[in-house]
Amino acid sequence: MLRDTAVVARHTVVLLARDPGTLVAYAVMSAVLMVVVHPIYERLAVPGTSGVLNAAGGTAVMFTLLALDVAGEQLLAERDWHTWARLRACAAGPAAILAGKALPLLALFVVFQGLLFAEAAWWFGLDLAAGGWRLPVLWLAWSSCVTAVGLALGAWLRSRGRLGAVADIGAMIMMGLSGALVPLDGLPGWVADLAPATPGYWAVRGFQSAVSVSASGAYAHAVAVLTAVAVVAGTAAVVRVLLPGRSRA
Amino acid sequence: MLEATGLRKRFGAVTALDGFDLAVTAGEICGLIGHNGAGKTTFARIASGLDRPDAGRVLIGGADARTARGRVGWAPQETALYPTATVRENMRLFGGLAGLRRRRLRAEIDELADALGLREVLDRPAGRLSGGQQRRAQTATALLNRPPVLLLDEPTVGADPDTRLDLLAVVRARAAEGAAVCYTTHYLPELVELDATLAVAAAGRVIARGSRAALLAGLPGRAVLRFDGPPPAALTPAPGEHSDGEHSDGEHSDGEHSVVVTAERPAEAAARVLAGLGPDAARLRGVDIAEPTLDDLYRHLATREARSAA
Repeated sequence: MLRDTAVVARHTVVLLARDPGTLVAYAVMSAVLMVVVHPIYERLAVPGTSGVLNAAGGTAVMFTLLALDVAGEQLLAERDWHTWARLRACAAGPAAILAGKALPLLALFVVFQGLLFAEAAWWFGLDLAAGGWRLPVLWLAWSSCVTAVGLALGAWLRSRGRLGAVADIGAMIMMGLSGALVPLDGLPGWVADLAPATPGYWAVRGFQSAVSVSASGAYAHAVAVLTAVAVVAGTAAVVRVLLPGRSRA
Repeated sequence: MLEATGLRKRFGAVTALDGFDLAVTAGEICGLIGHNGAGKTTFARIASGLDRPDAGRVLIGGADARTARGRVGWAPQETALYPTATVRENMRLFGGLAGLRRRRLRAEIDELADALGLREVLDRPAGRLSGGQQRRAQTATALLNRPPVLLLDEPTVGADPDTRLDLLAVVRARAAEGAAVCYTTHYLPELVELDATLAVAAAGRVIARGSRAALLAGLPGRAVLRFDGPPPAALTPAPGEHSDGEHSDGEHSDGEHSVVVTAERPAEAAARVLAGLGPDAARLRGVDIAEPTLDDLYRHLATREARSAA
């Protein structure tokens, strides 16, 4: 299975490299947006929280969510190209194929978040060392979550139009409710009540708690929730791929 | 090597396979022919391990098709390549998933690129190739690991004559190496070039199976007698051809008329007709004898099937 996963992953890297427009646009936009919104986050930061960290974490969550459709597209494009049936007719199992699709995306999202946080450290003095290993682990957990949800959407939805609609609307709602767009303290109370229902909330909360030694419980909780969502979404994707008729476009 | 027994498959109200039986031995090329909707593609999907039949089973070298995926090379009817990846990258993916590694994968890619005339386009994105080049590239991806069973679904659609010859040569070579080949096509002369046995599918099952000679035996052929001026009045069917033969005539622009004699042995029937013509035989311009073709066989079986269904 590992070899098959490696073969698919290598091919996925090729496909992503051939059409990098969307990802490059998200990377540039997020880097610019963080510079622009950083003062707002600083102003809205409540005592005990870091405005820079909120800006970096919020922007990272926002643009990774926008890349949901990039993950879903990895499966839906196969339908348009008629290659999905051929992949499934190979000896590789669905788990190996999905893992091969997921790994490059996962790596890409981790690097994307790392670059944003590096930018925050470089320009605004964010103390990355305070987070230690916790920040990279959270990047990984959040990337796994987004990748798995994106692949599940790609597996279950039947057209690129539907994927675009669901991913964009879902991302906007999650961004709003999670506090990634505007810190929760600046939003109505009912938003704060709904926020824990979105994975983005746990990512934002995880970033805040990652740099605070006293918040290790909150950090572990956030990582656990994100990992659980990733597992559920990944399982949903595998189940859909195993169901008969998936490849009958 | 490939053995399908009693396959049944329904998609909602549509019966795609209805007792489909087919066995192809190692080294045999079996031409699977039939109308669109006859069940060929559904059979190929089940044999490649993609779909489960509602009933029946497909064995690949004795193992169930769903567990023998790596032993089947499948090139579907529609083009199924990654358009932004190069031909080489497409071949690397499918070869890699078929278990080929490094040196052997490179060697197989090179060999197939040469055999199918893909050398010059190996590093070009598949989406920028012509239709014929894409068909060749797709077939190449199915042949990479030299699978013991090949399911080739209309591999020459849109291919130019040279491409077609290349493809047929490679298919023949793989069969000579021992592969069981199931070759679907609407270009029946290809099956003659491949020296293929035949399986005729209709309404979800195989209605005729055997060698070309055996299936063509007993089918009527045609003799076309061309005359200067109107067809001879004395022209009447000779005894023996009425049972399964018929005459028809038509006028050509240059005043020439032709009479078509349809009979089991068209040459003998034509000789009998000419013997009875008397002086009119002098107006004969020429005789063309056409033995029964696969098209005739196909039409004959399809008509028979339609009648029995009615």
